Amino acid sequence: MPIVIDHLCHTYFDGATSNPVLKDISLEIREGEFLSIIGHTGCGKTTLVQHLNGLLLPTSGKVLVDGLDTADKKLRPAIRTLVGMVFQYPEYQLFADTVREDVGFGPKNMKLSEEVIALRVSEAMAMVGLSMDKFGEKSPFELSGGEKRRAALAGILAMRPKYLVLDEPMAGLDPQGRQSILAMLEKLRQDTGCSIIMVSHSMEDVARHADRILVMDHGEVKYLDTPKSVFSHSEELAGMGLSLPAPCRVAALLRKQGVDAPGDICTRDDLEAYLLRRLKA
Amino acid sequence: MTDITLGQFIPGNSCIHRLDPRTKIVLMLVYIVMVFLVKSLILFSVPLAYVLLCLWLGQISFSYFGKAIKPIRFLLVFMFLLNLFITPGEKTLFSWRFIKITEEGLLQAVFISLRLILLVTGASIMTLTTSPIALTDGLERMLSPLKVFKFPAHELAMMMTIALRFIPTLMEEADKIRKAQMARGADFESGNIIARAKAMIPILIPLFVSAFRRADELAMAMESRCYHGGEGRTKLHQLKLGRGDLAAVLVTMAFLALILLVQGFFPGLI
Repeated sequence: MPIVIDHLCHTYFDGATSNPVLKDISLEIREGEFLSIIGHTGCGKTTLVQHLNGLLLPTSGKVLVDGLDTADKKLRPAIRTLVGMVFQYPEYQLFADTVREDVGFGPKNMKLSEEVIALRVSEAMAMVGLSMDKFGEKSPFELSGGEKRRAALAGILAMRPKYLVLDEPMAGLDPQGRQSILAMLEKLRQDTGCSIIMVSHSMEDVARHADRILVMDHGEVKYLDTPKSVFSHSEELAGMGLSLPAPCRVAALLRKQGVDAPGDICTRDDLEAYLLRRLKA
Repeated sequence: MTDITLGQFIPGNSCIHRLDPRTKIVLMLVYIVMVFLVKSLILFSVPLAYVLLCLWLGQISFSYFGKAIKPIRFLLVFMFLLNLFITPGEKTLFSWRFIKITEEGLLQAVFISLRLILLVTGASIMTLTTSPIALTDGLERMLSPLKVFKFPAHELAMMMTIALRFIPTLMEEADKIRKAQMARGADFESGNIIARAKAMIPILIPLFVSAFRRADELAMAMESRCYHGGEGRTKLHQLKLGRGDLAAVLVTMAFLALILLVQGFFPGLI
């Protein structure tokens, strides 16, 4: 069953002023898909993803996770087990004495037995590439920035979410760190079949990994489609303050020079394949 | 959290807002003395009139009077009951077994409650009309004569400014961490007091770590811009006493004199 968002509106009330952040959003997040959410700063991406596990509640409308309504307080623990949420800079949530304990915090809150917790912790740490022997008994505050991020990620993975929500998981990492997180997410999806919902500002990563892209603008859904068709609206995207992935821009420049590059190039692989074909011909 | 009036600042440009912060600090101290000098029920109308005058001049809605009292309502009830029952006295109004209410006790309880209400509302007028920055500026200037005795007036004021500046930042941070731990299934709403206190650990530890990190970064940033304390430092906004300050002092003195005169020379009136 999918996550169904039905006519969701959310308004922040700040004393006398009210600020509508989400305006009538309806969409469905499918099982096992990689959905990317893009949009300029302040368009409501973070507010939207916080509705997926009931951290924020709709002002009007509904969010159903596998048929469970997030507004129902009794269902919330179940919903938070289904939907794992990785916040921006998740390393700032580490608190326990050892990495092992910190990763086990989520499973422990799920009231699992000690053996199951131990199993899930070692599994999650292996998934993010932190060896139990080397890091298990270390204090999370002794780790490097990238290791902290991976430890925090393991803390969510240990809950085995069916939907994994990530809010800019690669912010502040070097290119190598970004690639390793993305590769890890891909592998996770293949192994467990979970859905990944990722907010990102990197158009290249989005074009390459996402099945579908959700484009938000001023609290509304502008596009929800495959990368190829979303990035074909180059002018509209530019109007929203969004850039195109670099391969798309290269193809557009080629077209301007009179080369008949097709409009559906949006990843490096697409561009490479096209250029090789052209050079051979 | 938005209901806490004490310490809140409402920007404005009334004659009270424009007063020198030093004047406001001194006059608040005078006002506190005034409240404690009052020894009769009728004369409490004088500080009350003073507070209402300040609210009116400061263009602050009278509803703030109620808002200022709200956070201390339990303390008020507690103090009232305590004084009502334990004050010894001659004239017994009501007694039942070991409970005894005397006229002196009732009077004492009413006095204490009125004083508390007047103190809190009066003090909140100062913070409502003075920005935290102006307040610390004023404090620094007032304490600077003590520098002769090696009193760190500038450093103290700087510390206060920084602390005030970081309150909203840390609140935001705490909210973010709370949400992150809730997403991991942390439960802050059920269980007894001990369980709830324990549940706060996953919030408090990251919050402290980040507060220390921020403090460290701020210290580094200040040092790299050659900050070395208050010595030889000039100010962008110089504090100047004006006619408004003189008028405020005179008005306050008039109120104080009224109380002293009535209580000292015409005790028969009250």
